[in-house]
Amino acid sequence: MGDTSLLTNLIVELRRGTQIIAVLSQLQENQYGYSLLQRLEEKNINIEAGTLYPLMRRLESQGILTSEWDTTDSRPRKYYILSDLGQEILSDLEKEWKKLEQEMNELFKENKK
Amino acid sequence: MKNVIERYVYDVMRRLPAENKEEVEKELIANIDDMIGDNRSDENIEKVLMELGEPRLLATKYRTKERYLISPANFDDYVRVLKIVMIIFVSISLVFGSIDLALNHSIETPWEMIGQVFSKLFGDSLNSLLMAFAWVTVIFFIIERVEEKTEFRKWSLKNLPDLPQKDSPKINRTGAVVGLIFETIFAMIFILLLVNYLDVIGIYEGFTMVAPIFTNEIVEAFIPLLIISIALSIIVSTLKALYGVWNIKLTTAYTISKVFSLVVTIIFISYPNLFNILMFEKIAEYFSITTNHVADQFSQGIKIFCIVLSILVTLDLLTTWVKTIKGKKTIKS
Repeated sequence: MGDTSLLTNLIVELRRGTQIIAVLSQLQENQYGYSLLQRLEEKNINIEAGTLYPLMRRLESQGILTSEWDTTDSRPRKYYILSDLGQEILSDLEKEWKKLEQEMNELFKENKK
Repeated sequence: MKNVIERYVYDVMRRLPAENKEEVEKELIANIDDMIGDNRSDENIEKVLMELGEPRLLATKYRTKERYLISPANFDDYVRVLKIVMIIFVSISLVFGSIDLALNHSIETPWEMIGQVFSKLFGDSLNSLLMAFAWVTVIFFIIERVEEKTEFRKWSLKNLPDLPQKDSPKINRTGAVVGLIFETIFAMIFILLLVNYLDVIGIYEGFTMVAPIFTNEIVEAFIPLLIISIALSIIVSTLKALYGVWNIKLTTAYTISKVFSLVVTIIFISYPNLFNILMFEKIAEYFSITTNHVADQFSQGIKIFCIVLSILVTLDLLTTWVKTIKGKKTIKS
């Protein structure tokens, strides 16, 4: 149906903007690419692997994440964690999210009257 | 499939800039290994790689900056400039190609000559189109790079364009250019045929010419006029393609060219003795009628042809003027 695919597209577009805040929220502790992907999936946040891995690199290059290679295991892994800047940004984004939620609720309330 | 993971990683990596490449590669391999886990069957590997998606698209996600030859912001301007430059290049190549043909054509059979004109003018137009495309693209590419680094083209209200003539009757630009190319080709064939093969245009019995159709001296006298008329119509076609809409200037030029070629055509074909008397005699012989009768019929036919032609041209000019003036009026209101 045309309508459902239209709705799906709109939902994808809406959710795309929340990807970063979702990713940052799960990086209070060390995570490597795949563990983060699974963790988000457990919480019903579906983000494609092909989107998540480049995103983590980009966040690192912006100084929001820091990383470290762990080569003690037979599988080398690159672990990411929030930097101090990342912590600040996450709490700011959380505030913004709550503000956004309130504003949206106001908008919807007006519609219902 | 062999080394499918390595090939996948390579296909992503070859699209990325050299900096941090090794690091990205190491990480991507580690991530893929994690996703595959302990089940290293072909099916599972395929599943994981398909989940990561096309290497081409994954590579674009690794890039932080979007890259364009011509960015969407400049694309409209690019297409507009490209159209105008293509029209100008084609017109110039047709003019020079025609001059070149007139000076350097080799006289062979008429068929070879027609082929020569076609391939020369067609080839030249195509070349000039490709050249226009290449130049405009290179120049826009440079503008794009300069814009990235400086504020060259800072927008202000002064940059707003003038309002276009609303509802001006549009001209199909592609049609105009194609028309222009063929117009030039046929005109050149016509002129070169007249210049070179006047002596062989005639009625044949077997392979010997028994009667020429035209009186050579008269045709030769008209050739400069014919060339001027063709040149005028090529100029007008170029203007048509450039303006893209009918405006007063264009319609005036169009009228001058049409009237001129109409007058030349009428004078030419109704000129006394243009058609060789020998041809009339031959035709009279075939149909067993008098030469005078044939000549009368012929001049009758020419008269009707001239009248029909005049009416058609007048109608064409009238509708064009009505279109032009209508377009003009809607702007004022």
